[in-house]
Amino acid sequence: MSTNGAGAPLVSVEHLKVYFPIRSGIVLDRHVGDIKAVDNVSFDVYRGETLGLVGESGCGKSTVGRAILRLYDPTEGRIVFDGQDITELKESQMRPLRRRMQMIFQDPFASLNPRHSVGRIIGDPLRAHGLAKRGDLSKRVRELLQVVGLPPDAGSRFPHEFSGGQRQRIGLARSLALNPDFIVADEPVSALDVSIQAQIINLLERLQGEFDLTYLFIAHDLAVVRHISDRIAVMYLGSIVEISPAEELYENPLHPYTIALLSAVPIPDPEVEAKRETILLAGDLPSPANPPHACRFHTRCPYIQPTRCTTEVPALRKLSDGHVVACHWAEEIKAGRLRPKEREAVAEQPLLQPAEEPPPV
Amino acid sequence: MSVAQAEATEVALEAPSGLWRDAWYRLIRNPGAIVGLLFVLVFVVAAIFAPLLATHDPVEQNLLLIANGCCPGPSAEHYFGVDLLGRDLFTRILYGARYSLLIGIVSVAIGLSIGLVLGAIAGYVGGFVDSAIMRVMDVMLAIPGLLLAIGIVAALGPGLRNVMIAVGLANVPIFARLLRGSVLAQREADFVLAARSVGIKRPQILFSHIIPNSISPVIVQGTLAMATAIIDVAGLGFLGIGLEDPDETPEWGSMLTEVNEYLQVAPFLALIPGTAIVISVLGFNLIGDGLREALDPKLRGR
Repeated sequence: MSTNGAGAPLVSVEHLKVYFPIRSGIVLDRHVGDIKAVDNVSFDVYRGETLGLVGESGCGKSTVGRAILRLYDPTEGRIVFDGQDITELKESQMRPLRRRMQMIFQDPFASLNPRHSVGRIIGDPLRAHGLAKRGDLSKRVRELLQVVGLPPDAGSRFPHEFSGGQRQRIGLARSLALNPDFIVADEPVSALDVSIQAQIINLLERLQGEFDLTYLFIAHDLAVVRHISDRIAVMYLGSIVEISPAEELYENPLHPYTIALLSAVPIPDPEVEAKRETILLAGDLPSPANPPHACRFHTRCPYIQPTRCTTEVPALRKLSDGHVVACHWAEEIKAGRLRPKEREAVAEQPLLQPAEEPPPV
Repeated sequence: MSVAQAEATEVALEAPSGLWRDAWYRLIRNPGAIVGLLFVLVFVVAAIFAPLLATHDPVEQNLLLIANGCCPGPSAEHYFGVDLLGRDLFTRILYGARYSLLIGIVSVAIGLSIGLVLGAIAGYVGGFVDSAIMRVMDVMLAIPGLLLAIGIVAALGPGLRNVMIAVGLANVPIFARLLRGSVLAQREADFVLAARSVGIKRPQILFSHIIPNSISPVIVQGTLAMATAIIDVAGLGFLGIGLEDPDETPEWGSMLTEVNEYLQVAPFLALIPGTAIVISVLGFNLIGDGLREALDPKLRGR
């Protein structure tokens, strides 16, 4: 395996768009609009690294993860896995590839079939791909249970007999069953108690070393992401606003949204905490059915400038230090020439329809 | 690690159990369900052992018994009395249990199997197929169930078999709707996505992941539908469009109809088959209610 950041990416996402149609009508469905859950997202994930994907609820980060695994169909754009374009593959053509890419789900209570025993849940992927005969199967299941730190006799039990942390270990064992190269971890610890979160994070890190895994780690908890990620991508309203190495992002955030996000993380030192400046964002997340034009963040941005912000879409561009950011004024912010200011929320334009709930994710 | 070990031992202390077994334990701890099970058991025993328990022949007429007017009430010789043709009512009730149970089970089986297939297809395939199937179901639901059954019997002709088909078909839209609803709810569940992401094929996802998790309201409805099927067939019998030869077939509904002119002189002739219907229907209803609680995952562990 090549080292971080070098060599060809294992997964490339190019100009990915995932729109969910809004339909209305009783007899004939009319297509009245789209929820732009993911709008023009591009990034690479390199072999052996962990790419953190952060953003607030509803920004489309889970949709990106699910689209990469082709659980949702991309509306536009390309997904390349290990040199192969998988965007247009049929379900049957995807099946062999599913051995190499897996997913860990957020909710350990919803992601395990309550009517199947743990052994069956973990063994199902092996059976689906014809990888193990009966005797081997139970041996392999016991192995996997051991790898994720569960007792070997757990296989005969049912999910409801386990706690949240243990269930997440079961989900982990299931995704490891096929020996994948790439795992999308969709907020794998956000449903767990803090004490259990650390266990699962450490387990994920141990497994990454043991099995040469590449992670796309989706989360909204910045402390967790900082701990586990090599690089971090920040999403806002369906688009990526900043990508940078993890430490660099935390030391030197450049996009106003990232700055605001990081300023909301409490610092466990009362003196520093009292002095530091927090930026409160005004207003709510705009509706992804009708996102603001130009820079999507301009309705809430504390650094908004009279020119460009409301007229020109900022491209995701690479600054001299390797930091990738989508803001017209990144250089000025970096140099400290711009200061955040208090502002009222500005409605982009009256919403034509009440904000639609995005489809169940 | 110590936390994980503690959790592991804690888990080991609990007995392993399946969901269905859990549900069964909860069901037999529910007093209502036990009463229901007993009621139904009484009728199952009566149906199975009717020839052994019966004191007379169910169709043999003994007109001498009614020579002095209709009709002699319960006595040591005839536990429930005799009907207007001198047949032993107790024996006819026992044999009638066979028909009522048969009607309940077969017609629900017909409605359930067709309804399951249609509901599962509509819910899982979605789109145009869903709309097409469900609009047909809506049309069927718009007609009252008994009226629909009357129409079907009228088209197929009378007879036990056709009555069961008619009552079964009238039940199809209820089952189809119920299953479609729960399939729709399960289709987007995380564990279904998980099954897709590990590469399990679509038919297997439907049969081993979605349907087992959507079926419990349908099972509950099935027991309740058995009760209504018995009533519906009795109703069809009462209207005189049920069985081909009600005199020869001791079926509770037609036993009720035959005696409607004798209600004032011998009310027991109607009360006894009526009570049999009420008790069997009540039994199925109590079991259905018990199952509803026992299969509800939210109540698990109580």
